[in-house]
Amino acid sequence: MKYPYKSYPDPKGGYDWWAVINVQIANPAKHSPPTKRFEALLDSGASRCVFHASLGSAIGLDFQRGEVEETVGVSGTPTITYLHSVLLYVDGGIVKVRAGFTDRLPLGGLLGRKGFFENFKVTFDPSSEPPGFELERIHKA
Amino acid sequence: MPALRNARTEALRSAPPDSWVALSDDETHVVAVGRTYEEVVAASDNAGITDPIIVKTPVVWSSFSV
Repeated sequence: MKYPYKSYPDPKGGYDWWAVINVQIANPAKHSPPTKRFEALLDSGASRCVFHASLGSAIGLDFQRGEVEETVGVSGTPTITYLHSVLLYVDGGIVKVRAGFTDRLPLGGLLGRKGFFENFKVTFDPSSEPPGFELERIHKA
Repeated sequence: MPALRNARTEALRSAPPDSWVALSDDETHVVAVGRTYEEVVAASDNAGITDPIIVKTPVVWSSFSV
C-alpha cells in the first residue's frame, strides 16, 4: 500500500514532509479496544517503537510499571522508557510489539526497527510530489 | 493537493503546542484539542467526531532528528 508523506509546519513558517502513517495500539492484557487513529513517524534509526505515555494510560497501562529501558537520541541525552507489549494496528496487519512508553516524546509515536521495520518492508520514493512510501507486510516463516 | 497540504499545515501550526489535537477526516481542520490523548478523544466525541486522526503537537515545530 502506498502512502504520501504528510505535511507539518516547519520553524520558518513553511512546511516539511514527514513519513508518517496512522496507526492504533491496544492492550492485549486488558482486551481493550484500540486507540483512535494517531500519527506515528517512521524512524528506521530507532531501535524499537516508542509511544507517548498518554496513549499507554488510555489503554490501561500503568506505564511506569513496565521494564525500564534507557534510550539515547542524537542529543546524547538519555531518556527512560518503560516497555510494554501492545498490539500495533497498521494497514495490512496487526503485530505484537514490545514498545517503549515515555511522557517525554514530542509526538504520538515512533515506529522503529523492532516491531515495525522487522515486520514491514518500506520503500521510500522521493520522486513524486508529495514524496511517498510503500508499505508491505512481511510474513516470516 | 497543495490547498489541502496548506490547510493541514496551517491547522497544525494554529494548534496549541505540546497538546493533543484531533483532525477532521480530510485533515484540514482541528476539531478538538486536549492536554492528554484521553481529553482530546472525549472532546472529539462531544463534537460528534467519532473517527478523528489524532496528532501530538510538539512544544515547537522544528526539524526532527530522533
